[in-house]
Amino acid sequence: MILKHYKMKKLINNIILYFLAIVLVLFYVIVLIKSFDYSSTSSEYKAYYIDGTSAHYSPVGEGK
Amino acid sequence: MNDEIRIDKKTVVWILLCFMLSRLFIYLLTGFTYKDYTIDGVIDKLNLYDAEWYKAYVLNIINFDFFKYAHINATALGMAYWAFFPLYPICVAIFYVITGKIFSIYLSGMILSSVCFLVAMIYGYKYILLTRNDRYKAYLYIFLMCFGPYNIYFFIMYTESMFLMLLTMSFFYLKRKQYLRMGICGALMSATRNVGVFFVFVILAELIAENCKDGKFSLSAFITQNIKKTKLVLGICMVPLGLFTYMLVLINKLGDGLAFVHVQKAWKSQSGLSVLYSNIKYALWDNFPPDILQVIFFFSILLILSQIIRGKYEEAVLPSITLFVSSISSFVSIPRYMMGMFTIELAIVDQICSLGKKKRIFVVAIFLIFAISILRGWLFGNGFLL
Repeated sequence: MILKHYKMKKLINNIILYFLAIVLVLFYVIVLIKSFDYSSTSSEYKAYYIDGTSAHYSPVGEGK
Repeated sequence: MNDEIRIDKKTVVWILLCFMLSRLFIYLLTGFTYKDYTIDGVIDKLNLYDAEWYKAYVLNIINFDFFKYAHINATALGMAYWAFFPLYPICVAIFYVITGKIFSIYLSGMILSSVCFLVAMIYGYKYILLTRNDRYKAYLYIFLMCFGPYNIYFFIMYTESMFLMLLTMSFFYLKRKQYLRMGICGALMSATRNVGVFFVFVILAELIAENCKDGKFSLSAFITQNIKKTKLVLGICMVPLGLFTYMLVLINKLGDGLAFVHVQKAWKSQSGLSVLYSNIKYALWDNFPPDILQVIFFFSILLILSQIIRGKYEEAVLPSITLFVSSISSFVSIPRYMMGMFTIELAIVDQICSLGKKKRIFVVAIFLIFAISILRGWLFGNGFLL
């Protein structure tokens, strides 16, 4: 009985740890996908840092 | 493998003695150089370059305004403080506020760096006993970290000490197979500096080395054995958490999760394998004999190779990746990255301990002279050359 209880506890523990690992991987995938979406980036920022079409850029006062 | 590694009184005294004397030496040398022995004067003279960026970072955190303060260079070239990872400035800001702002921001950073450095020394000692079971090596490691070249970076408001502490703890917990603790340290490390995320490859190298103990490697056995270790799986998955959380903040603030990569444009004009080839060619041909940065680049390669020859593959992984990632754009900062890499210092200690007694003393003396000249160079504003 004690052994069965121990095994059950271990199983639940493992399920929780795997679940957390899957949640983390999903979080990474979502952040990675969103990182390549520049739709909310300011035009000045995009022109300087990403497209390289602008030669000057001041980050002071930047923000979406 | 030892079940418990305790720090005895003798070790605590050694760590504190080396730490106090080395910091006192830096303080006196700075005071002597500028003929100003006041605490504020010395602190201002020591905290140069990136420390100024961290100060702006801390001020923004305290004001809950991501864009309020910027470093003076930020205006023209597009340099911005989001190139620097946030954990260290966040901790400095918290320390600065909870101590009632009685210390300056630089001094708060230096106190935090010192605490992190002391913890790093304790875990470094434990790691060396665990993996090498050699107290002499552990003491030499502590001595070289305190007095050796580039020790200045572990004293001032730079991320070096915090990164060193988290890296050393991650290695220690990896060896102890305490994977959740390792994962937490790894997550914090990837929030301290971008290369922290590559600790995932250190774990893989360690697991592969364990799997290859009998000389054979079986991919199926490797996967089936390790996938069952739930704490290991979660520990590995936790390591990139710091980096990805920072990316999420950047998405919300700038609309660009890779802003810390894109902002490098303002510092470096080019990067790639062709740049690395040009840098090596420049060092060995155009600019022969190579300068100090180039010498340290090649010296680091030799140290990494020495660890591989000794079979310490997991210790060679992170310096290799860091060296590669840095050198494809420039050799600047390579010494700082390498000395803060923990396993590179270990490689130096391993090499020194393989020498005879007289040669050991000679090499350590050379290191000390080099350390003093580096410190003088820093004080005279040659920081970017170091």
